[in-house]
Amino acid sequence: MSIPEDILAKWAAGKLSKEEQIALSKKYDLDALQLWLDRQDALEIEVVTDDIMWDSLGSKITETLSESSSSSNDVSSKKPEWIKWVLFLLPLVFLIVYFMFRSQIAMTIIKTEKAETKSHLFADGSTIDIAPQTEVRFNDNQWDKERQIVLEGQATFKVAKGNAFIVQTRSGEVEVLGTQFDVWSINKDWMRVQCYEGKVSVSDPQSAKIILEANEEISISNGRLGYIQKMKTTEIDWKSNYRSFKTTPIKLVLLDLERFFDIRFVATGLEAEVFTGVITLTNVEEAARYLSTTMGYEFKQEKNTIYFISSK
Amino acid sequence: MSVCAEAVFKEVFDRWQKPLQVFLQGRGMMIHKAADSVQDCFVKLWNNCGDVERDKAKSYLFTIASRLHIDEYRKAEVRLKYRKGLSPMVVNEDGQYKLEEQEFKNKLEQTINSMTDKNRTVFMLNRFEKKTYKEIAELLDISVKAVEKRMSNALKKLYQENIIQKK
Repeated sequence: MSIPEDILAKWAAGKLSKEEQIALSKKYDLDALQLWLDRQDALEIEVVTDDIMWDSLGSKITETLSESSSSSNDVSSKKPEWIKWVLFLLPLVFLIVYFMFRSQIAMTIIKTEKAETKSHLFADGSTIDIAPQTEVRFNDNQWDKERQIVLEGQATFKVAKGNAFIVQTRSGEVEVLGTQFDVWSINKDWMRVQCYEGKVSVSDPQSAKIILEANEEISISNGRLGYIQKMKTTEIDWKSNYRSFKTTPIKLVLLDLERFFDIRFVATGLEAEVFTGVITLTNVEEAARYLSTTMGYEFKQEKNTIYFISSK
Repeated sequence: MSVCAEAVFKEVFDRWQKPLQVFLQGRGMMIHKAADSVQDCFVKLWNNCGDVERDKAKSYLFTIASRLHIDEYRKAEVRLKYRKGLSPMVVNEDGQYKLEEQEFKNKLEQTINSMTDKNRTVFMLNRFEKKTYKEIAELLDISVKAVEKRMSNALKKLYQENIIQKK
C-alpha cells in the first residue's frame, strides 16, 4: 500500500480517519512522535520582543525620513562602501579609547577651601564629610571594584559594607570594612584616626599595623603609631562646631583652627607648648579668648591676623 | 482603509511582526538579522502606507520579507527557549529533569537546523506560531497541498533523526 506524501502533515493536524491512522501507525511510531511534539510545545522560538521592535522601529523610520529628505529615495542606500566602514568603526575606536583611559579620566577630586565643608555620597551608599582645607581624590567609576581614597586634610567616613575601604594619607593608611571613622592628617609627620563604629586597621609607613575598635583613637607621629586611647565623646567634633584637643602642640592647634576660620594665627615662641581642651568653632573671637585664658596668653587682632603673646 | 493611521499600523505590527520573524528565521536568518529585516519591512510599509490597504498589508509584508531574505541568504540557526510558566513540570524541576530538557532542546534545534529552508519555514510557522496549513499557504503564496508536503517532509526528518534511533 502506498502512503501519500502529505499524510504525516494531515496526521499532525488531526485530519486523518481511524483507518488511515491505523495504516500509518504500522510505518511510524505515532505515539512517540506525538510525545515529541507535545514536548516541543513547551518551547518557543526566540524572537526579539514586540516592545523592543516597536521602539527601535520608530527611530528607524525617522532615520529613513531624514535620509530621504536629504537625498532622493533609493540613492541614499547606495552610499560608498567606505563610509559604512567608517561609520561602523568610529564608535568602536571611541569605545576603545574610552576604556583605555577611563581610569585616568574618571579621577574625581573634591577640594574644600578654608571655612568650607562638603560631603559626597558614593555609589555604594558610603558617605564622606570633608572638613575645611582638605583634598580628597578617588575613582568614582571604579568604585565598585576598588574603594580607595587619597586624603590630604581631614574627613569623616561612613562606610557601607563591602570590599576593603582604604584611605591613604602621606603619613599612613587606614583600611576598614563597613564602619564610621574620622581621619585627620595635617602634614606628613602627624595624623589621627578616630573610629566611631565597627573596626578599622591603621598602619604607619613602616607597615606596623594596629586594629582600632569603636570609640578608640590613635595617632601616628613622625612615622610611628602611638597608643590606642579611648575617645572622650562619640560625637564628631568638627561636625558639631567645636574642636577638642588633647596635649596637642599649640602650633598644630592653631594650624587646625586656621582651617575653620579663614584667619591667620601667629604665636611666636609659643608653638611648642601643649594645649588640652575644647574650642568652639562658631566664633573666632570666642575661640581666641578661650585659648588665651586657658594658656595664660593675651591676643589682639589686626586685620586678618590674630597675634598671641604670653602674658606671664 | 490604509495603514497610515498609527493605530492601524500598530495593529498590523503587533499581529505580524512575530510571524515575520519566525518566517525569516525559518528561512535561515539569525535572530537579530531577522529582527532587523522585519523592521525594514515595516519601515517600507510605513513609507508606502498610502498605497497599501490594511487587508493587503500582510501579503505586502511577507513579499518584502522574502525579497529581503533572497538578498541576505544565510545559514540557519534556530534558537529555542523555554516557554515560561506553562509546563507544570517546570515548577518542581530538579537537576535531572533540567538536563533532559536541555538535551531535548539541543536535539530539536539540531533537527530543525538540518531541515531545508522550505520545510523548516512551514514547520516553524505551524509548530511555533500555531498557524494552520491554510494560513501558511496564504502567507507563502503556495498551495495547501504544497504546505502539507513540506510539513510531512519536516516531520519525517524529525522522526528519522530522533525516534527511529531510540527503537
